[in-house]
Amino acid sequence: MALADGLAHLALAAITVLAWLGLGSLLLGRGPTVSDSVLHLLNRVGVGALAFALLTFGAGWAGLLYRVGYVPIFAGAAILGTVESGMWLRSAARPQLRHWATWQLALLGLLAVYVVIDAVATLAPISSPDALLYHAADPALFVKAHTIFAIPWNSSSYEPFSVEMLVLDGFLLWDHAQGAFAPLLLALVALAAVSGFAYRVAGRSAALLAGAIFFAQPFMVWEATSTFIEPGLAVAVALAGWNLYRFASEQERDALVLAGIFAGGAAGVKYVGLIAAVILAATAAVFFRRLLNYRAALSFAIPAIVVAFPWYLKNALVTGNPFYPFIFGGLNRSAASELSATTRSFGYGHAPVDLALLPARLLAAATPFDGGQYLSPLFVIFAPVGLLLRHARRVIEIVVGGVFVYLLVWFVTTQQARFLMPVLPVAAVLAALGILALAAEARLGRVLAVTVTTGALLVSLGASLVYAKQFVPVVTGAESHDQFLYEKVSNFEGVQWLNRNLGTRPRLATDIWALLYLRMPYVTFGTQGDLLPDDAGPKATRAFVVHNRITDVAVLDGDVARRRQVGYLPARLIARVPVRSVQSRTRGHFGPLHYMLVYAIGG
Amino acid sequence: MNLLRAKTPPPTSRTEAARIKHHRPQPSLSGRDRTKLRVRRVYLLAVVWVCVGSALYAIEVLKLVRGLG
Repeated sequence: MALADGLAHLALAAITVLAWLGLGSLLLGRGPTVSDSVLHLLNRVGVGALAFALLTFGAGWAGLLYRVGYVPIFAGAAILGTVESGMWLRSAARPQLRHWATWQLALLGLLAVYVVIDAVATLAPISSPDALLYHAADPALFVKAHTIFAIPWNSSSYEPFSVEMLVLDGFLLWDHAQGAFAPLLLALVALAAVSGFAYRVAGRSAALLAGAIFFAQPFMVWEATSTFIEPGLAVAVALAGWNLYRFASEQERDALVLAGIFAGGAAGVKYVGLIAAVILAATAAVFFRRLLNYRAALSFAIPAIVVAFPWYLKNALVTGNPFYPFIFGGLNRSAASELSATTRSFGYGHAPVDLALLPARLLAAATPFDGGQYLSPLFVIFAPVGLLLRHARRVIEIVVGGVFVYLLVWFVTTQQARFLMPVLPVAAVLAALGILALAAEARLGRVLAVTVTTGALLVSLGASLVYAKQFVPVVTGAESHDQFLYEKVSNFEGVQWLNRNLGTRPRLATDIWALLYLRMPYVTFGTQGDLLPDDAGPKATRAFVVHNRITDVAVLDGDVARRRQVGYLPARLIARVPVRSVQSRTRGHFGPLHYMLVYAIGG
Repeated sequence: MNLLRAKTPPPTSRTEAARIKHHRPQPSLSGRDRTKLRVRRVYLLAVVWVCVGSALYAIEVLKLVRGLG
């Protein structure tokens, strides 16, 4: 049964890509096009994904999130996509694998292994904390209500939500696992864009190396399979970059329009995508300054603004601040200060010496960058080596300059490895060029390039297999979903208790993060105390309970501030549920046993 | 366009080359030698960086392996 379900999910995931291609082909049928057949195909897939995200967003605000409405559109687009892909396959040149070198076949095989690893990890029930808190939890709320609404307890839900819309599409199509496939599919499209672009600028070897550097790493396995949004950033930036390059090399103005669409798409995935889009545009302006004129600038800027606009307009209408909760603020004082402290808590510091030590720390001690230890070292080691290519040095200097500016912004804002994703596609191509340039230079260079690349890919494969191994029992049916969630989700015992004992009628206020699996209506006090600050007194606490029509409260016994606030209410303790936090899913590390305290209000 | 392949430099006429040679003081190293030297330096720098980077990453790998244990 588990196997049949898994295969059905995989089949629907493949059909989802066809649906993206179908809708993209429909929209670009009479619109902008490029003469590069691979880029044209990927443009259609990318535009289709963007269109589905924006359609879902629009349908959500119109209160039209119904399976009966979504499935026919999905099916029609998938049929069109099947026809389009069939035509493309008939005209595309077949790869002559027998002419490939052994190491090239090995890299292709490695990428195939990673696709399997990623598919297995995605098929497991959603268990990453951020997905449980909002990436998956919010789309689940929208599907249940058939409408999109503001979620004031989590400021992250005001970020542009394009990838979450595609996750929502998966929920509409079938279930949580189907939704979780959206980021993986985007990562695969990004892989195709990275390899395709590298192939165009430097041939097959560069394509395979760039693809392996980008995709064959535990960091990407984690990103693509945890219902995160960053793969959406990668694909948008990769396609925008490739189209910009196309404009620079072939002067196809349509490529500029498409680049604008994808730059807007990046800005519609998360605020960090807006930063990436602006830096990409500035880098491109330097790159082809001789081609730059008023019309070219507008050809890029107008589609970018049109595609990104709905997300910022929504925030402006809902909160009065298009960049809520950043730039113009809007959070209460303590929440704003906690959000700022949290975003600045990653990494080692923001001093110039920390910037100078950044490459060394990313290689040797990257854990404080939140998952940075799983990032492939090949980006940092080999991307600068690309400067060995003397005849392309000017181009590479400009691109490295753009990457450096992005890194600088990343360094001064929030040093989370995940937000490096927008530069990973271009860093992968640079690193592939660096490896090939070093190998071509002399015997020592060749030995080093081969040894270091092989070593890093093998270490990455080992780490990825260790990570994916934890998902195999539940995917094969050897472990039950509940048992898996007990082991991987913090305080899941508490969630199960609430579902079992409170049913679906009460309205719960809670401070636990595993919101995706709660069956009853809920609010939280706010991820940073957005709705009820930690230091709020009796009056504000009672107002919070009345305003949100709270009937029950579930808080962890270590949350002293919330326990104090429960004391301001006419609350009766009805249960002390033993729970434990998960400190490492992969290593199976748990925190000490503690309690979730459940109170009935007014009883 | 293939970034891995160098473009052929534009041909310089013999008279132009002779003129340049005539008017320029003879350097101890020719332009070509200096380019070669610069290339060599960049290459050695790249080799050193790759070695240092790999050694640094080896520290991270050791920590990951220990963490698993």
